[in-house]
This record gives sequence, C-alpha cells and structure tokens, in this order.
Amino acid sequence: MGLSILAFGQVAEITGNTFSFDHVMDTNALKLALEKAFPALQHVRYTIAVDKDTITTNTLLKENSVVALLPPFSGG
Amino acid sequence: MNQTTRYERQTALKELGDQGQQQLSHAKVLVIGAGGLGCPVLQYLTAAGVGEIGIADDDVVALNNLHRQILYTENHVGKLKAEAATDVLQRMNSTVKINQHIVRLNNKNILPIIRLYDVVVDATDNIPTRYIVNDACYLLRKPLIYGSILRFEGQLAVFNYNTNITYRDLFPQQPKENEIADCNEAGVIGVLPGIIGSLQAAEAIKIITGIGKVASGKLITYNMLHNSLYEFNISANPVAASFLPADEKAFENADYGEVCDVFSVREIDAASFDEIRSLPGTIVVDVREDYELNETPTFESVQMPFSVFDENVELPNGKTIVVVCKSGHRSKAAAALLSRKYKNVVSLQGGVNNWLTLNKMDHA
Repeated sequence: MGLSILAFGQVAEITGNTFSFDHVMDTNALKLALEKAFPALQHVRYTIAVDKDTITTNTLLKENSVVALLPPFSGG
Repeated sequence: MNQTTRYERQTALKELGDQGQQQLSHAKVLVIGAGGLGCPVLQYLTAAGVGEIGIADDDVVALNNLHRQILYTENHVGKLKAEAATDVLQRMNSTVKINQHIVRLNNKNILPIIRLYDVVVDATDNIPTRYIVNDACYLLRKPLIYGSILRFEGQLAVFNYNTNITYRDLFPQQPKENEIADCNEAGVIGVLPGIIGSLQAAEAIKIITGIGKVASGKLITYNMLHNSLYEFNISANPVAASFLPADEKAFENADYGEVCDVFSVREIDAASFDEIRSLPGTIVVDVREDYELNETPTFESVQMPFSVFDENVELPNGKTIVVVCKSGHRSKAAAALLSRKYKNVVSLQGGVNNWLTLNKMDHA
C-alpha cells in the first residue's frame, strides 16, 4: 500500500488527477519526492491536505494516507 | 406585484418560510466581479429577493464573455458590466435595490464599499484582488464567500463566518503573478463558473437565512469532467497572521502588487509590432510556453515562458522591450514585472493572435 494522491488544478496538469505514490515518512519528504518525480512542480505553489485537513507544518504520513495537493485558482 | 406569490415556491420550504424571506429582503450582499461567477450569483440572489445587491465591476462586456457570462446579450457588448447587469436584473426583479460600484477595487477604496454590506461574494478573476477582498473582509469581520475556477475545476469556501479562518489560512502569502495560472487563457466552459457561482449563491442564502451547514472554514473542490466533489477542512495557519494587515491603516498602505501595475503597462498594436521589432534597439520577449510556439510562424525573440518567468533576468539595457504572448494577457503581466527594472517595456496588444489576424488580412 502506498499513498493516494489527489491533485488539483495546475498540479494535476503536471501529475495527473489521482495516483499512488510510494510511502514516505512525512509531508516534507513527500514534497521532495514529488518534485523529483515531477520537476515542474517546483514552480507551482500548493497547499497540502492530509486525510481531509490542510496542514501547516511537516506532518507524519500514515501507511494509507490520502494526500491532496491544492493550488490556488484565480479565474472567475 | 404580489410579493407573497412571487416567492411562494421558496417560502414553502419549512426551513426557509416567511421568516427566511424577510431575512432575504433585509440582506445586503456585495458581489465583487460581474463575470463568469458573478453572473449566476447576481441572477439567483436577485431572483430570490435579496433586499440590496451591490455590483462592483469596472469592466465592459466583450463578445468572448457571452459564452459564460449569461446575464449579457449581444446588445451589451462594449457596455459596462455593472450597468448591463443592473438593467437585466431590475427587469427580473424590480423590488431589489441594486447599487453599482463602477470602480476597480483596491486596498485604498474597498473598505467604505464593503462596510455598506452584510455579506461579500468574491467573484473576481485575479489573485491580487482576491487577497485585497480577503484582507478587507477580515478587518471588517464580514462573511466572505469565495469562489474561483481553473479550466474544468472550481473552488468554494466561506471565510469569517462562525470562524476566524480566512483565505490566508489556506494560502498565506500572495503568490507572484507568474506563479499561478492566472491569465494564461486556460479556457473554460461556461457551465463551470455557472456551477461554482450557483454554489456561492446558495451559501449566501444559507448565511442570510441561517439554514443548513455553511462551508465555513472548508475548501470544496469540484471537477466538472470527473463529477468529483471533495471537501477539506482548512486548518488555522499560524503563518497567516503575519501576512494579514494589523489594522486599516496597514491595509491601505500595503502593496498588493500586480493589478495596478498591469493597468499601467503601455501596449502597442499589431500594426506597430512589425515596425518596432525591426528597429535595431528592440528586443522581443516571448513569454509563451514551449508547446505554444510551433503553432505559429516565429520571429526573432528571447524565449522566457511565463510559467518559469524570472523578472530579474538580465536583458541589454537601453533597448525597447516588447513582450508578447498568445493573446496579450500574460505579456502584460510580464511587462509589468519587467517595468520595475527596465525603462521602455511594452506589451503586444491582443498578442500573437492579433498580429496573425492582421497579417492574414494584409495578404488576403
């Protein structure tokens, strides 16, 4: 079992909407691993949610956590 | 006109009832932006009998607005959106008081306008204004119903309503203009802002009448292609406080950046472009993405895709810099950034699209 990732907006344009990703310990490690797998992510700003709650600091990931990558949208 | 009959199908809902209708008729809602999101918000709130509605918009109706901004007709093209919307809405419901605020809202003029209302709907289309609206609503403790879209996706959230959560808890620091897909002409199907705007209108009615569960402190995302809807709890972000203005004075003195800069960018038309770019002292900076370049004939240019645009780039000094993109939006934003460092920066109006059209006409 790995992490389930939900990506939105500009992030999804780079990574695809949903995908599994090898488990890493915490969200900092995940960010680095994602940027390695998808270098274009370095240029995108996004907020991370773990299991439905947005996080504000580095957060430990459970074996089957669902992680959402949420960039801002500006259109109207 | 019998007002009881007019609203009987909504007052029949026991959750709403006559009391809810009374609350609606006493409510004052400010809708900021009368575009893709603002149109459905304005239509539904007017139809529902909200007592007073403010429309803040300084833009005019364009032909390419009509596919999604469904308040407007072909006759409105070229007219101010606030006036066109008022005209249509008053015919829909003459009992609603509609106020027009035909001004580009900024941190110097927004507070007195927001003070006039109970609830604010953010239906804007750019990041700086979203931060300005957020910070103003935070200072004045006004419930803010946020909606935004990108391609087939939308976001909805409610701030300052039974919670201290604001947009800055979600995205604390305002990104630079080139960090997000803002004016990349991403494209949109009209129904998407229709859906998100309708969700915003629903939240406004719920807040006014106190029914249901408001998306307060939540971020709701909707994807039209997948029919997927997700809800996230927005956690209080300790960093947010350091970015929120301490008071009204700090707010009015803060720098929200690009919006104003973009409006001061000088543009050249497609006809002048060929002439100017052939001059020895001119550099053309093309901010289109790599994948867009093979769509059109090329011209001599420095390529700096907008997604990785670096405003501190070293360009030869003392030259005229013409920034171009596909339709003239990104180039304007990039030109605004370059103008901080370089003197003679202009943007190609209407982008390469316009230039191609003109050349086709010449050769026809």
